[in-house]
Amino acid sequence: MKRPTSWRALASVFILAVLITAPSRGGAQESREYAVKAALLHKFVEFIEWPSETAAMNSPIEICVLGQDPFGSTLEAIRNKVVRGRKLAIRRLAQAEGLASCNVLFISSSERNHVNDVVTSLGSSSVLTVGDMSGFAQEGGIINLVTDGNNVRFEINVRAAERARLKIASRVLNLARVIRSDKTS
Amino acid sequence: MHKRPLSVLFLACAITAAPAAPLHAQGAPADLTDLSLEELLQVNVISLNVLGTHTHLAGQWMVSYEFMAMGMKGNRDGTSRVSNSDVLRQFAVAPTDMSFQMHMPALMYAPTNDLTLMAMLPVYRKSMNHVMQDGGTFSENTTGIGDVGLTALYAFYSAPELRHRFLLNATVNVPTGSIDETMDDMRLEYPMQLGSGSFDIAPGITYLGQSRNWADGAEVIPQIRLNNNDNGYRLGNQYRAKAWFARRLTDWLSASTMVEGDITDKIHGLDPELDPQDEPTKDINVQGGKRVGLSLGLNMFAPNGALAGHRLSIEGILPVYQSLNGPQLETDWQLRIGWQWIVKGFQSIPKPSASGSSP
Repeated sequence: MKRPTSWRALASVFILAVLITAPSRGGAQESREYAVKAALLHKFVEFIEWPSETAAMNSPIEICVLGQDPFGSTLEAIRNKVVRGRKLAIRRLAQAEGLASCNVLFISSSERNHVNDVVTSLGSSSVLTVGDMSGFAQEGGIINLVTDGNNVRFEINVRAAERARLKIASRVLNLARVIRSDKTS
Repeated sequence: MHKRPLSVLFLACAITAAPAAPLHAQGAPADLTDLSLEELLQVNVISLNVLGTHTHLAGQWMVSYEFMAMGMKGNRDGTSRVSNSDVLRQFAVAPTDMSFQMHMPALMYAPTNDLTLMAMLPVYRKSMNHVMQDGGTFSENTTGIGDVGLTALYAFYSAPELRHRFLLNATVNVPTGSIDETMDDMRLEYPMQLGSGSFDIAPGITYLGQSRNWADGAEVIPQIRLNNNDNGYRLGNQYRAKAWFARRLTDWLSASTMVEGDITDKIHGLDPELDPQDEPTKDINVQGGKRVGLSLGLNMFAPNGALAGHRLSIEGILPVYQSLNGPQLETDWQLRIGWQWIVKGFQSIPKPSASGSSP
């Protein structure tokens, strides 16, 4: 007699509490996680050195997003920021074309099945590939953003970075989980 | 009977849900580029904590407080309920109901990413009502500190991307709680004492899994009593297991469900001041049993603003199975409220800047 009443009461309270909080559902999740990830892209540009031939000082540093953009408006927070004397530009790409002209290429998880193709097509181009999906660094991507408990961390495939002739500051490497994978085809 | 605790649960949910709007507003895109790389990695982006075992990043200090209330009414023998008159046919006195409250402050520190240390000091408040064979009733109350717990959590395996982790969970309980609680100069029964009187160890293993929108976990922790206490007995060992699942609902809120069970052995030895004929709570053979409970919980987290770094969790637990070495009071409900505050090593998100453009 007593237990069903208790279950109903507890379930009602739970549902009610969820309903009370439900209106705030939506963009916030995306905003906080991807605001941090966008800021990390900014930091990577600050601490990674591109080969001199690609460092045209008058041109902006291009951060490209390939596939479905998970950043929403959070990426706008870093647009036009000046890093090492160059402005950051944002370019969103629906298709894998003209990728070699990007300095940073964020490969969205919507392109999960094409990561290997994209990385292979870049060859030794000095493009910093960044993703946030399982196995990205093992597939040849350079930096994979992962969640560790409640925080964002990152993995770095140092072989892939060497292939792209990118020099990653030791400060960044010290904070990363280092992966050595040669897989690119 | 259940109105009061459920009202408290409802009120707590409503109060904690109230900050939703301002938090949501503050959770809008913020300019984080002023933070250092190290600080960015300390920004808390996901709220998926469940009350219980968790670890911290290196250098983090956390203070926490947990309140637990439990209501017990009516007796049970095995899986069957027994009336007070049934109990009074075997004993001079029958316990009719008990309320149990625990206030537990704790301090956590992580010297490395793989090791988290914790110290806990529980304070108990227990109240038990009785009925005698002549129909008379009386109450007993005890309040005071329990056994101090010292815990080390060590992550001995972390899968790529840290989606799966296994922790060694080692706790030592120091017998700081009293086992000499009395009323009218009479020693109170075993369940009304505040401590075990013995050193205990609780070596366990915990699994933690997490992805962007969900978290799950499971743990098995036996609590082994190492020695007889000064009053000549040793509480029964307890074997606890639980498994949980949490789903992120919003950026600052997650819901969780947990199934937890324990097997508790009978008491070994005997306190000579307790007459086992008097009432079941003084009989060493009428202690322990098996219990399984199911909980629903809400876990809230403030990423920024005045409450940045604070977490609040609320869980309501109901029993789904009880087989007791009875006659023994059965559990009707449990409520747990936990507050956690990362006092050092937490990076809140800066307020949004006026323009997200150049520095």
